[in-house]
Amino acid sequence: MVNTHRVTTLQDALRYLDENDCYIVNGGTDAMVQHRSWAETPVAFPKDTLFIHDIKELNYIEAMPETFKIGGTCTYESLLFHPGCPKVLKACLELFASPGIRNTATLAGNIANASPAADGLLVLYALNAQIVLQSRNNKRILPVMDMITGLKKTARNKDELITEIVIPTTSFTHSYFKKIGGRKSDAISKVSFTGLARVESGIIKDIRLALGAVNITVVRRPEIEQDLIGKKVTDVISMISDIKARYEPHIKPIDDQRSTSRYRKTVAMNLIETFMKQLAQ
Amino acid sequence: MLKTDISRSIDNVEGKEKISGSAKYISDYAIEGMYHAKTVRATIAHGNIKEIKLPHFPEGYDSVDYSDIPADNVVGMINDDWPVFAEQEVNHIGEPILLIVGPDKTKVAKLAQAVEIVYEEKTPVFDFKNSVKQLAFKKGNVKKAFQEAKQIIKHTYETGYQEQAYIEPQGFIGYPEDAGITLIGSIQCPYYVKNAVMRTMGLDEDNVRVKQAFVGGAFGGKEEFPSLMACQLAVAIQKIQKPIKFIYEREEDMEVTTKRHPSRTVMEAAIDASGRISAIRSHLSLDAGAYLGLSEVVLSRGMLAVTNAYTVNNLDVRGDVYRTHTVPNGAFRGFGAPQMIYAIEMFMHHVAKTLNQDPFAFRMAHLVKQGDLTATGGIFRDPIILRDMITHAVEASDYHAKVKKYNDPNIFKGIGMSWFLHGCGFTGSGEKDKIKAKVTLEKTKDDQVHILVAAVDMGQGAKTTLRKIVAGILELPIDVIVFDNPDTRFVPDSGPTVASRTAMIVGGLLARAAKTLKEDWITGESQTVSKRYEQPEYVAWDQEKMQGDAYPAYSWGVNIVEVEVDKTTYEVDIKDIWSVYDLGKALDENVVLGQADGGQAQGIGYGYLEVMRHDGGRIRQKNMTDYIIPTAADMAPSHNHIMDNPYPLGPYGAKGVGELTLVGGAPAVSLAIEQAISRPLRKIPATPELLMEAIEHD
Repeated sequence: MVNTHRVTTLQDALRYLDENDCYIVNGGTDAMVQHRSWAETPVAFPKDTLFIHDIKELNYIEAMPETFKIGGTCTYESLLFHPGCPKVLKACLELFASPGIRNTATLAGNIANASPAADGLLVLYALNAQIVLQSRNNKRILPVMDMITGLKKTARNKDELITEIVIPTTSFTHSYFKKIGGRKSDAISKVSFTGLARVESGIIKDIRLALGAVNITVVRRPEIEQDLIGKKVTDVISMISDIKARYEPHIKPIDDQRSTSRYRKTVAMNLIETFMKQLAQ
Repeated sequence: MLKTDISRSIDNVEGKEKISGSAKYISDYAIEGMYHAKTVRATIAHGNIKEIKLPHFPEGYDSVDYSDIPADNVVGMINDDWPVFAEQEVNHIGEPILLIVGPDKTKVAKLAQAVEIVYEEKTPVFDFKNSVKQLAFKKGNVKKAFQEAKQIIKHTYETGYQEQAYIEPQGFIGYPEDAGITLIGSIQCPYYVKNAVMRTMGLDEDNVRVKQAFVGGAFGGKEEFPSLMACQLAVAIQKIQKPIKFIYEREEDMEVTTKRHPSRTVMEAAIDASGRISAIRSHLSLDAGAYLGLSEVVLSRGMLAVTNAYTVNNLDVRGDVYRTHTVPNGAFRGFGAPQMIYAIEMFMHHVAKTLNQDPFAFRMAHLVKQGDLTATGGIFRDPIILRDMITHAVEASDYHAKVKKYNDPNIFKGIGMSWFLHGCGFTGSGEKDKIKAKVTLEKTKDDQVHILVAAVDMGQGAKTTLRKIVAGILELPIDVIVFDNPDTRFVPDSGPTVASRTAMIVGGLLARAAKTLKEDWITGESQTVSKRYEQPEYVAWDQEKMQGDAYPAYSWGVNIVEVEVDKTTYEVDIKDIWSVYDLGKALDENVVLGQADGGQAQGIGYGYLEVMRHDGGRIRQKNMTDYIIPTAADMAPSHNHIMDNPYPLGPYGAKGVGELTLVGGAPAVSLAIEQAISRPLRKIPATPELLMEAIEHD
């Protein structure tokens, strides 16, 4: 039998994490499913478990001119209905799971779970989000790309908690989110795509492409994006096949019970093309 | 008092209990001191059990297997090939070998996990190779028609698994009672369960009692499969002499319970000089899985739907049930008809295209009319209003204009139409020879009238409609008519709750009983009236040759589906749905509309969304995350229209409705998608992956 511990303050949580090696449950929508057991028997958590979703001081959203900050226990549903929620994140959340799940699932929990099919994570990649990790004696900030280190792996140390997600406020002229699930709602992505760009006087000033469920982590290639910055959108059309060719080696989806590798790859490539064409329009 | 039109809706009588949460489903039951059972299953698709290594059982824990069965190790159904527990041979992954039973669930789970089974593996078969049942029938002179044919057109159609995805998984709770066994379950057919348990246990009818709990959906999935669980549980109760609860987990349920048979249908048409179909040769293959179960009857209903709502004078129809080393397939709303109606509707369209004829006109030219011979040489005796129904659907949906507009291959939109019939009640002489349904009305001294039937309300509204029939005829308020969940100790065998027979057959018998009771009514006295099924004399069926009237009556329907396909992602967006139904007379409009919305979603989902496959005999989509069924967001607003065409022998003119609303969904959506992508489709589900292959592989 494992022990379970529920905390209501950040201080208690960090102390507990410092003193114990434990599994953390935030909203529980991943954790409870992953460790499900026979009905009416205890959930099969792998080790002592800390429940943090009652930490009220982390349940906040702070919309500042420069940043949009999301507390570690903030649920998707409160994010969705916050007036300051970045447009592309809102577009993602509208298609995210079901109301029941959105009311308990948290963005921080989604990051910690580090699934390549996590839609929220995809958007954070595109928005250059920063992840705040706090332990009893330390606090550090990591870009989301460095936070996620592999399939279901993160840079979080076991005494650390994700206390905040910081999204820099940026304005885009183009914002595109596309989720391909098995159906229109309450589905896990077969492929997902986020495209953001700022085009001024026909010149690409900023561009970001992120693809989900096509590799072990979200795919974002800053070196390809860098080469597009400064280009004229009217020139982009002739570059599409070249751009796709550069993304191609990074799109390595799998065959599984939800879709095929071929479909995921074809659609990922189609979405890149669709987004680039939108820029040229 | 119900003096208004019977169709006018009343509140669903189970609504309050279900919405408030007071309805007791099987997993809500608990009995003081009860034990729990868990199944240990085969992990290979085919082989022999060499050795079973059981863990040490602490006090109060035990295993139950075939050696504990007092009588027959057979789940009593139509064929006797399905064992209660595997003995030597295992024939599919997940086949039950033994139960672990004990008071603490955690310990039971641990012990079940500790059981080690050593196998000698054999090569499994997954293809249509091993035919174990063959059926065939003929009409007219097929040979001549093909010899004289101007053209012959042949296509093959394939359909996949479909999972019932009932809201509540399978389950029972049971206990020893007097000298026998009592079982409470989430079931469609109390007497199927009772008869199967009597056979396995060697008990007489007084010693097996079966009660129905509230049923959280069934869709055919709780027709025959519960008999297997009930037999296993009865063996365990007999051995251990404790109350035992036996509930499947969702993933276990999806992996091991019966599903819709995957199929392959070959259709071959002879075209005469006038450009019409003079003959069809058809062959339907069904994958039964490891055991036959009801597969032969499913095959039969599928084959009988071969010409759907068309008249073709010359037919050669064959079918085979193949055994494979996969989970057994079984009953599912539509029962073989969805596979065949998909094939014939697509085929009619494809034949017209090949002949360069307008598909709508071509199909209309073959439309069945009153007095025509059925596929098996029976007669469509009752009025058929399908032509009016089609006209209504065509006008409501602006079908012709849209077909024209969407023929432009660049706009990726499509509209598809299916029309269809469904035979009501058991096939052939099943009602007369096998079921012999009996119903009873029991009036108490306080003038309450109890409906005693074995029909189950599994969400389809049987308690509402059957009570309305009785109340209407007796001219009494609905609340003096009592309809409790069936308990075989009190209710006669009115047959299983299947085959779109409850409203028409059971309801019809109740109407007759109510008429008699009304005539003989004595206020303040207890009175009992029973009625037994009598087949209309003109209905004649030869089971051997499959000739005659396969069904006493038919319900009819039209589905139109409009879609748009995303050029980038190949996803299908259902834009609109129109339906028209002739089910005789609606016994309650809301009940019928509920069936329509649900049946369409299930039928359309079957056509474009619901993917289930096995890999080496192991089901890959085994939870509700991976097995995708449509949500409300996936379905468009449906425009349903009911047209009255009362059936003289049905209660208030009612015919069947439950299955009818499903069977036409798949071809309608497939034809719409086919138009949107400007390429033919011969396989369902028409998933984005399949559409991508079709589009990319030009």
